[in-house]
Amino acid sequence: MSEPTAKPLLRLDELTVAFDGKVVVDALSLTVNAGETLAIVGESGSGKSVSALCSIDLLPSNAEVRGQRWLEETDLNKLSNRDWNGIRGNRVGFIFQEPMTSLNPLHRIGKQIGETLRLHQGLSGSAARSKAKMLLEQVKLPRPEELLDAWPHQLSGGQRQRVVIAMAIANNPALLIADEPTTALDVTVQQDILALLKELRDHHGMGVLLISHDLNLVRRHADRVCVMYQGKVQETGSVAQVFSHPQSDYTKALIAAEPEGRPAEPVNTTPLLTAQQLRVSFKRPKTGLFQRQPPAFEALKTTNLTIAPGETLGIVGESGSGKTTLASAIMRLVTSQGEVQLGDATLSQLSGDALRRQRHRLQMVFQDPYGALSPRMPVFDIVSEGLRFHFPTLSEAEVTERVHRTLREVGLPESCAARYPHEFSGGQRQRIAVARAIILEPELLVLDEPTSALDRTVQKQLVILLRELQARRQLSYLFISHDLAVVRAMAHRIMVLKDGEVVEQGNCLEVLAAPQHAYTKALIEAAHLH
Amino acid sequence: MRFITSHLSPITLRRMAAFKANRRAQVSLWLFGALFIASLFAELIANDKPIVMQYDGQWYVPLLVDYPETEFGGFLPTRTDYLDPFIQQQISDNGWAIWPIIPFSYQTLDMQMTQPSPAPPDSRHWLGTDDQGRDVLARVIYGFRLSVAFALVLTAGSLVIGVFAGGVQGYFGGKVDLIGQRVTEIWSGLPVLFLLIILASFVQPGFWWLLSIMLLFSWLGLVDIVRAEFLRARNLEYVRAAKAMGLPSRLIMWRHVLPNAMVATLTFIPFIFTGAIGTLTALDFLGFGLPPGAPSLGELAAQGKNNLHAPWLGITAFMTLAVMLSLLVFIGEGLRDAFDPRHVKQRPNSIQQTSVQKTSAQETSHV
Repeated sequence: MSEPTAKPLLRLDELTVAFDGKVVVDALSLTVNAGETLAIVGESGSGKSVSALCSIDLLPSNAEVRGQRWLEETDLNKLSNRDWNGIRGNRVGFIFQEPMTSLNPLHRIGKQIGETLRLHQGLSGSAARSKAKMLLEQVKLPRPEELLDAWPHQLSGGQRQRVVIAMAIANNPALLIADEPTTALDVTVQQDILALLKELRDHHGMGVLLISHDLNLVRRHADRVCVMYQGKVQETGSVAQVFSHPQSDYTKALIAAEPEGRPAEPVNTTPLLTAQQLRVSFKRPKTGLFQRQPPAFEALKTTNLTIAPGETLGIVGESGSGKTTLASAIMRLVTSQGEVQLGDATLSQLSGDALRRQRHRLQMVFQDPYGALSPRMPVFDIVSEGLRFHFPTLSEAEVTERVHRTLREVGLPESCAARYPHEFSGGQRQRIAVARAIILEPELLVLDEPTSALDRTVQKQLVILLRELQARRQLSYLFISHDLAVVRAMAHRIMVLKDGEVVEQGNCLEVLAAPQHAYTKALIEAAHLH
Repeated sequence: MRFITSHLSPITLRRMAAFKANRRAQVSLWLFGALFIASLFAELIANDKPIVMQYDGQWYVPLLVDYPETEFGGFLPTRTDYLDPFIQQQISDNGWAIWPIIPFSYQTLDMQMTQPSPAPPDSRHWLGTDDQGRDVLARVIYGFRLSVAFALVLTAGSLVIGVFAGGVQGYFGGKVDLIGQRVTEIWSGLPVLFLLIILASFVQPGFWWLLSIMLLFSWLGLVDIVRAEFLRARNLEYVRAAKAMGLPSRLIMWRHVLPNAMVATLTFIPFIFTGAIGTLTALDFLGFGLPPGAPSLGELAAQGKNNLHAPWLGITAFMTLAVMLSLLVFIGEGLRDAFDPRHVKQRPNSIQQTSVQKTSAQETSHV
């Protein structure tokens, strides 16, 4: 469209997909040209993955598809199941979101790549092996010869995704569909993978259909963008045009959804929480019966921290950096060495019932809003459970009153008390989780990636809610996140963790503006803050 | 009814609705319930004495009270045999009596048979008699009650022991789990059938004897399932959230882990239930079960095997067992689906949720 001269590779025309009568994708039209990247952007449930799966006919059987689908000169609607097998993995490569599960754990890397080669090119034995090795070199994996004989679990997430890409490009496909290819990866790895995709695209002259919810990535790595909301295309255009002059309201909201603002400054500077010489190590299993016990794995190296009342300490780092371990150690959910002092209580010396009695003073909000609420309890019971345990003298009427007040405080209607968690969206569930924590009137709230499973627009609302709660109740937060934009909007001070070690800490804005450590610099560069 | 339902939690109501939506399970439940309740009053349906009678202007309740024969003009001060033609004659001359539909109990020997036993079905014995001249229908009714009661008690007992043992092992893990698992493995290695047979040779096993011996082993099947569920659940975020809230282990296990582990456990209950009935029948069939004379379906099946010329014995035993076990399996199936949240349709006013799997994949990806 933007380049009429370019040859359209994939063309979808008035495509409509419905599941059991419910329309999921509504009259979608788009074209992907050779040598360009078209990104479909949208929040969860917008129908972007369904569109992609539909274009290679991988939808479950209860899907009804209407509309035209063309791949170059082929009318995809007229293909038989056999013909499809010649298209998928051959003319169209597919990269799935989750590198942990898209490789078969029981086959070696070389065999998995060799399988596509055998099916579509008839290569086998040493020919397939040398081609596979070449592909691993193309996706820039170190030591390709060794990796051919590695098992998927021996590779990191980023390496696995490279293997998946190698498999996708094995047959020189004309079109590569990448469904959230980097969502499961750390920010610094994301950049490398997308740069690789771009390079491969230019090298092979492929068209790339990139599906993502992350506007930052799309802005930097796509040529054209198609914004979807609830199954409908909001607007399509070149990246520069859409981002600088968004036409539809939804696109505007999406672009403006970057968390912004700053938390209120704390009044009191006497530390509420002090952790000294905090250290967590896990025993490694013995490799054999007569082997010596291997040295313990240090998940968190000696760390000191303090948090004042009404202050937010942001903990930043990638997966495996020990952020969650630090939170668990402060919550005393894992065994740790060192001293944790909350107000007048030394938590690290307490155990059993004495520790349980202190727990209402520090509460935690977990990352996964779908897993953190018991699916078999109504919201009322979930929120009131801790209250009943810690304050057993409260009457039924008082409990009800407090539950309703707390639900209102987190912005939920009272009527939701009688409903069950599965009836709520991710953002609403996270509000329920916050309500469950603050009803006990804690002094410290540990927030473990509370926003990472949420859509951008919902993240922003949650950040605002958390800041309001902090201002009103003088709550202290230990805020864990890998998302620097959210951390910037939440934290007074930040602490950067890498491999269980604090590499940098200080005032949030100062660190973000002038990072000292190379790792912090890399993180900030990858996050592409504005 | 409205009053009762208004006090149930919405999830229970929803489960009931899901169960009702499954027609086969619902019909099976009604049928089985009717049969079981009817069999609970077996004494009123099949008995060898009248329920109430009047004799010489006086009221008698032979069902509850034993009267000597001399009351009714007999000669001996022994328990009255109401099926005796002389007594029957006396009653019809001097009063009246209300008889159960089937005038035989499970161990009544019919002395007025016109045919050699086993006698084929006729208007007197609707399903014929067995080789000792006892009414087959009466024995089936009493046998059904006994089997179901046995299975109910056994299932309830196994459930309590199995869930407790599995739950403790799964929730605490580590050494508790290791030792518990080894003990259950050794325990499950004991040969149950031989133990029962050996036992039968020196005590006469009754209902409770059989029950307690089978209870020693029947819970083992549940342990693995419950343990696996608890192992999985103890690391779920809402369980960690409950720990962070300061709840003690017993409350966490009871409120958070158990309800979610019960789906897998419930799917197993119909198997234990039908298994218990099957084992009891098998033992009776082999002659190591309930004492002679007790109404038992297994004994009926054995008689059918020994009297192939009397097919009504075998057919009755087979049909009774088949219907009973099928109904139970259908009910179990319906129960399992009703307790599974994925089978419950969302309420129309609930918040729209699209592609849950996708979002959950996104969440896990950030771990």
